[in-house]
Amino acid sequence: MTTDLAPGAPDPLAPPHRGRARDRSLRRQKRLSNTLVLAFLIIASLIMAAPFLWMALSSLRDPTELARTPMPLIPRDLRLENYSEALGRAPFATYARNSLILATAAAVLNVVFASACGYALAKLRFRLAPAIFAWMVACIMIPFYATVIPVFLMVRHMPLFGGNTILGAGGTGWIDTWWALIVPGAVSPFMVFLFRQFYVSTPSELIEAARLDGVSEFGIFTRIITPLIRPGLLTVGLLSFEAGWNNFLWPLLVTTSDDLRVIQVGIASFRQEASTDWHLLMAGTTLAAVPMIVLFLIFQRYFVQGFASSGIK
Amino acid sequence: MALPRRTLFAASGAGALTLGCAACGSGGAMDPSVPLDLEAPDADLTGSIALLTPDFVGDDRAVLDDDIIAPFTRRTGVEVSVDQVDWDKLNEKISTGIAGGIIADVIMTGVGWTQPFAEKGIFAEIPAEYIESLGYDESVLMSTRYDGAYYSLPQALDLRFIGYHPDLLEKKGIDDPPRTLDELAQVAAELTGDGVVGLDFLSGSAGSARQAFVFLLYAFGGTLFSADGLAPRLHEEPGRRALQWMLDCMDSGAIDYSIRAAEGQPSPFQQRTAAMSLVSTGNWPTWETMTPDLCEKGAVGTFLLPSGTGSDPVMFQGGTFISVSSLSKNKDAAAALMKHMLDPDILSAASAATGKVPPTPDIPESEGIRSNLLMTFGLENLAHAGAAEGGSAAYMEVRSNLDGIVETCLTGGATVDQTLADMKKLCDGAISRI
Repeated sequence: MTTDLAPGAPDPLAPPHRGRARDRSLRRQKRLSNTLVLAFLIIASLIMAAPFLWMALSSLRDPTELARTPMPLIPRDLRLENYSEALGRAPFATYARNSLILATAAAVLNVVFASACGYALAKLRFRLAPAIFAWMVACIMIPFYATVIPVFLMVRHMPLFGGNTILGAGGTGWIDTWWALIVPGAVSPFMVFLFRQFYVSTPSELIEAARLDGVSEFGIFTRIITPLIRPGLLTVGLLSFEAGWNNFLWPLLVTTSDDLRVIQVGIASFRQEASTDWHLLMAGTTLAAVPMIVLFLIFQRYFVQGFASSGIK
Repeated sequence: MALPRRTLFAASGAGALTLGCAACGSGGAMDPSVPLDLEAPDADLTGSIALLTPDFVGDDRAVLDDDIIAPFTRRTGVEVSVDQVDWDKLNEKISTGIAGGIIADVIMTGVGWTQPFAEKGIFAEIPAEYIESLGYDESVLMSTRYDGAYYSLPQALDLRFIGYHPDLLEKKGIDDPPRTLDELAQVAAELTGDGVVGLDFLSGSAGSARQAFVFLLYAFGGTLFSADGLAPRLHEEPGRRALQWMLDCMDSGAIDYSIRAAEGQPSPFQQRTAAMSLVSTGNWPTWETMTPDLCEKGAVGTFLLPSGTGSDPVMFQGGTFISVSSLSKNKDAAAALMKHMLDPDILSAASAATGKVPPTPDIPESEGIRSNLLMTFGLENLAHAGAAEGGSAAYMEVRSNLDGIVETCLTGGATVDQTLADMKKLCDGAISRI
């Protein structure tokens, strides 16, 4: 009599050492694949970090060392003067302060307005919600360059500001003011979309229960549902801060005075028409990148969690 | 009385439209037809003006503020605010300013920018008598005209010619620089070998492929456009010969298209992997920092690009040109600042700071100018600076697309005939949209 074994089932007649050998082989295979994945991840991380490392190393190089071919990987002398020289070339303290104000305002305003908009689109029932959401998604796809002139015109013709009449003529509107820097970036369609994705994943039963308990709609939004999407708040806050910090073209277009210029515009001062001070440019860029890197390191757990839970991976 | 929702929507829509139309319609309260008065007495000047400049960045800014603007403000009482924008974003800055009706009173742009902005009515006409009184060479005034009138003036030039390593030429028994383009190609081929390329013409260390083509186009006796700027000329015989010359040199190995230096690294010429190279006066600060040995007397030889038609050699002209906005509310003060910036003492101070070539040799000598050997050569040969971009109001659109067309030809993606046809099509299209 023969016994049919299901495919893959252990053979009871097989000697026990064959099972141990298979276990060992499986463990070896797993270890090997883990090692390969780890090696791949290390190499990928190094490739991704290489430009930042190059930037940081070059910020400490002597200009003549930058000119050497091939350039040594590790700087021979650490030239910290590059930083002081870079700071002395332009009013970087003013630029950094302006960038900080702009980035903080972008983060706070986007969190406030985009969360309210995202909540309304995700949880409030009204007939135009799908159309407004589709419009928001469509807005994400419009490139910044296509909207620059219309937004510039709105800013320039802002009634009753900068000497403008009620019809928005005669003066300069919001040009060269904080309003022009902050208001156009106060709410972004992408952040609205992101918040909507976060709110969609929260339980609607909580809202219904809160309504039965007599909580106001604003109270439900601020005290019941929004605390559930804390990673989302941090993600949007961080992304908006980053966008505000790295903003270059818009501040350049709507400001004329040095008092309102931002750090990215300051960095551009190391590039001239026919020459570039690479050692200073790299020192300035490193200084500008540090706040973002520090913020990301502090909040990276929430940041990744936020993206994972919003379905944008 | 309760208003129906539809009525409310219609009323607010109409209100917004009225507001928008009124705002756009009355945005420019200035009068563009007011001519420039360059003789207004200082005592009559008041108020403030804005200067838009892509130059004087970094350390040079102090020179602009303290040595150029401060004396002007002391003399006239006019306050000047400076809006500094780098070259890459200057067009966007001016274009959004034009759309919004807000533009600086004094605007600094580049060669080839005058005609497009003069055609749009943005630049004010500068009286010819004033320009003639400056005594500038005709070669530096070519780019300042549109439709027979002057709309800008050169403030600082960036001149390009050929530089060579004298020892590398001597090693091959070449004593004199070439006098014709055929000779240049032949010498470049002779110098090629042992890890050295004869001529670095396309690495981008002194301009783009587009500018290299325009330089050769003039050397072969061509121009980009007809005199009125309404018909392309770059696709004609000189254009064909310019492209073919580069392709022939690439075939012989005298020009190596693939020779490039990484951003921030010295150019092939600085690294001595190119015996001759297109060099720009703007290269001098980089040479001083990276390869100071090249700045010593006799370390580098220079010559103008020989003619391909047996006429005079040519020099390529780039640079910064100064204009007054026709929309300025304070034109007299703006004109006075322009005049002040062209004062020989001010030109000398600006040149020493930026390293750019002044538009005239008649300025007080300074150590900055004397020690800059590329600038000295450029100034000595200013009369030959006839190769320049521009010449049509459509050039701003042409320039951004011409690079790709030239590169396609040089990389074998299109024949010379196809390239010339593409150039003509590009120019015709842009001119038709003026």
